[in-house]
Amino acid sequence: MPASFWSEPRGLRSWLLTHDHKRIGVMYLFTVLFFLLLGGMFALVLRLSLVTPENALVSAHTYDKLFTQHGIVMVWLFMIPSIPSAFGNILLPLMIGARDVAFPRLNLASYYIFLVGGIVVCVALIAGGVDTGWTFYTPYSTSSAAATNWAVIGVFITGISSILTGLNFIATVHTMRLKGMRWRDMPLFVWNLYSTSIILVLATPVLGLVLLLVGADHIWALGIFEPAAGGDPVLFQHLFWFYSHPAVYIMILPAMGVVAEVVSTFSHRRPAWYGAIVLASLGIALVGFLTWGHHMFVAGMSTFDSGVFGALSMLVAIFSAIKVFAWVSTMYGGSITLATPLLYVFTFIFLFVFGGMSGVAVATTSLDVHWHDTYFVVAHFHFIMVGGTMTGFLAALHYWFPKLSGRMYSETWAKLACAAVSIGFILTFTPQFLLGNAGMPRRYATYPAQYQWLHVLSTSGACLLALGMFTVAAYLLYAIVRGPHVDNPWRSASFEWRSASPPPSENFVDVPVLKDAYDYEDVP
Amino acid sequence: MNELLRRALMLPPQASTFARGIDTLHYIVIGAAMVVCFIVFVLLLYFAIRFREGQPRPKRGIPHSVEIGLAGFTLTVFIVWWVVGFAQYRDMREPPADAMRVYTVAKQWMWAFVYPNGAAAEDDLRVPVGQPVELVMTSRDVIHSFYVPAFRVKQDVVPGRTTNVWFTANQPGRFEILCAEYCGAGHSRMRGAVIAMPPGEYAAWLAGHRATDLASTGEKLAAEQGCFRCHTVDGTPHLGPSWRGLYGSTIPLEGGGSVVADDAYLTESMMNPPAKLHRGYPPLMPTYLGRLSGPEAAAIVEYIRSLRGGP
Repeated sequence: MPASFWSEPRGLRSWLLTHDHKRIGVMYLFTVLFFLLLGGMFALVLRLSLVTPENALVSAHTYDKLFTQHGIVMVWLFMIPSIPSAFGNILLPLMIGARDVAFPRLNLASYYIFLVGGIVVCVALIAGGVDTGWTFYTPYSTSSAAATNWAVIGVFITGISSILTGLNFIATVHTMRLKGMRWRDMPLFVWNLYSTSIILVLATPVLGLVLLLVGADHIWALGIFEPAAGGDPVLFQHLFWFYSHPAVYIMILPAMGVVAEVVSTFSHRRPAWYGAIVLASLGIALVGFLTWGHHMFVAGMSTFDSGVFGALSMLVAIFSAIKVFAWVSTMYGGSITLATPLLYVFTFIFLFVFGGMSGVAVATTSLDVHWHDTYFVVAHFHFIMVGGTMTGFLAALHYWFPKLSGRMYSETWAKLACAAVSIGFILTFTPQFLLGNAGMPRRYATYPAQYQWLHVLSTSGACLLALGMFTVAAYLLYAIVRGPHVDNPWRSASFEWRSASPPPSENFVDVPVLKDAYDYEDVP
Repeated sequence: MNELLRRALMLPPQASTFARGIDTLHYIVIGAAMVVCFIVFVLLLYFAIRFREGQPRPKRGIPHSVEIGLAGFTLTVFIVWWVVGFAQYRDMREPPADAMRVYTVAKQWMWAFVYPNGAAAEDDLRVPVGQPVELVMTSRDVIHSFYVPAFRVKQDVVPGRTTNVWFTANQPGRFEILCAEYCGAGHSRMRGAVIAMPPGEYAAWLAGHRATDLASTGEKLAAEQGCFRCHTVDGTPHLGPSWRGLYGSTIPLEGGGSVVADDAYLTESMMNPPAKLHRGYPPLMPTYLGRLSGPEAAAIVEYIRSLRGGP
């Protein structure tokens, strides 16, 4: 292997104390993949235990811990950091022609803080487990087992990491762009990371605050959310969703950035409607802050508030619709190569459109009353948030794998696995929409027998999905060792591909010359 | 058409006056979602084939005016759905003045209903068909949610405050009540039913519905307090130990040691459950301190004592 950031400088110490954004990104990547595996295992046991109505596999109490831990691990230890912290770290400086992020030491600190947070969450799992639901609704959470405190503190710590990463990205975009690169010259992935960072910096402190209050209520019985002590449990929900709704945009905006890049590269065409995509990203980041109440239409909030939150949710949906129009019209008139990353993007768009439309459906106040807290909502957010983040993550992994490793994986295996993941995912969650229609509430360890066949379908989908994911792991690991050497297999014009694959430690050996990131005329 | 779509989408029967209208909007919104999803996916596939590498490329892309027009059209449709949906939602939130009020208390893991004449019931809520019924609800412990899928109504039940929900059953029948807000290990078993009856039958039931030695008072109290959610009386262990043969038996304790289940131990376990935990059972039981008076606790102990023999 030629000298690259992988081998230069040498030694374990040089990795553990590295300031290189690519190495930090790689450490994030492997860490979030570990948590994806952990959260996925919880999900598989969960799905298997739902095959029979009376839940022959685990007790109700264990079931409650499984869905809680699945949620906590997947949301805070996989989806939030997945694309921004892993791929964002690796690619942001490369895409704007910089040597590194603005604060490399802070970047390393951010990784270790995340790791400590992840370990503390794992302590909660070992110390008896958490059964509150990932939403920590009070007063159930403040009266639940002691391990809840560990989970709350762990998530609080990962929040600090999120804030630091967000600050770092914002500063990097403002100050580190290659001389002459204007805002409107930036690749769309950078714009999406920038929008994400704004949310990370503004919303995460509120999550930190509310989690600390839950912890304090739990340890010292302060009663902030305890009605018997004059507290208000619904206040918790307002504060929690003030972060957790924008958080879905923390997950989906970077994935949208990946989609924009992949669609452009594989259509060999400049992204259609660049300005609209940028404005839509910023619009989602800002209006996304004002929609949290749509999680609370039946929580006891006023009728007027529900109406306002419903209307604002429609507005956020239109920004997403604009992005879909722009992606589809980028393909019109393109010169399209149907490679694996683009196939994942197709799945992304399918899940995003149906997931988004079902989001508009649950934002329609009267319809939400029936669907709220049923499997319909579970299916909706898995389609759009999980499906979106996961297919975006897989598209990014397959698109930038050659960039990172300098090697190519088997396209045949990759396409087969993509089919298994896509079909598996859709088969897992489509039956859950119908379960929700039929009135099956979420978080049920046991259920009335009439719902069984839909649960069996859903579980079979989950098994196919798991098979697909393990296949991805297998051929990528093989490709790291044995894959043929490549440099820019996609003939992408984007800036990051102008350095060698894998890039050298300093990213660009010579000072790079500013060029249009979407200049497809001089690409053969 | 309504029946066909309702069955295709697996919706429950439309047993309240709200259900039909909400379902109609449901068909439109979900139908549109399916159509849009189909069109977008077909377009993706068509473009992927028509514009694959090496095919001739058009001179111009899709004009912005088309995109702006599509976005405007989509927003208009969303707003129409919002207006119709919000009008329905407002109706669901405002009970009519002539509604019959039933006081409802939710707790882990049961529903308790008290009728205007003082009659009380657990888990089964009997209502007359055609009569608006308003539930005035509160919770004794954590947040629950009153959900009747066949009525398309749901409302969280929050401790420390009251929330309201109303509905009018439009047909006789038995319609499941489910708890929709996660409330602990018994969440999925916190089920009840609305039993909608013809008005005459309902009146007869209510009139006839008004027990007397200490053990049967205890049994009734135990039912009201939800004890049977976790304790059986037939000897099968459940979330908690069975009451059959419990009285006078020697109980192994969590953390070692044992205790004889006498009046003192049983009373302590109601008032301060974690003090001496039966080995092998999770520490789930809530305290009844302040919820059961001395004579009430004594009645329940007397009932447990009556279960000494075999079933």
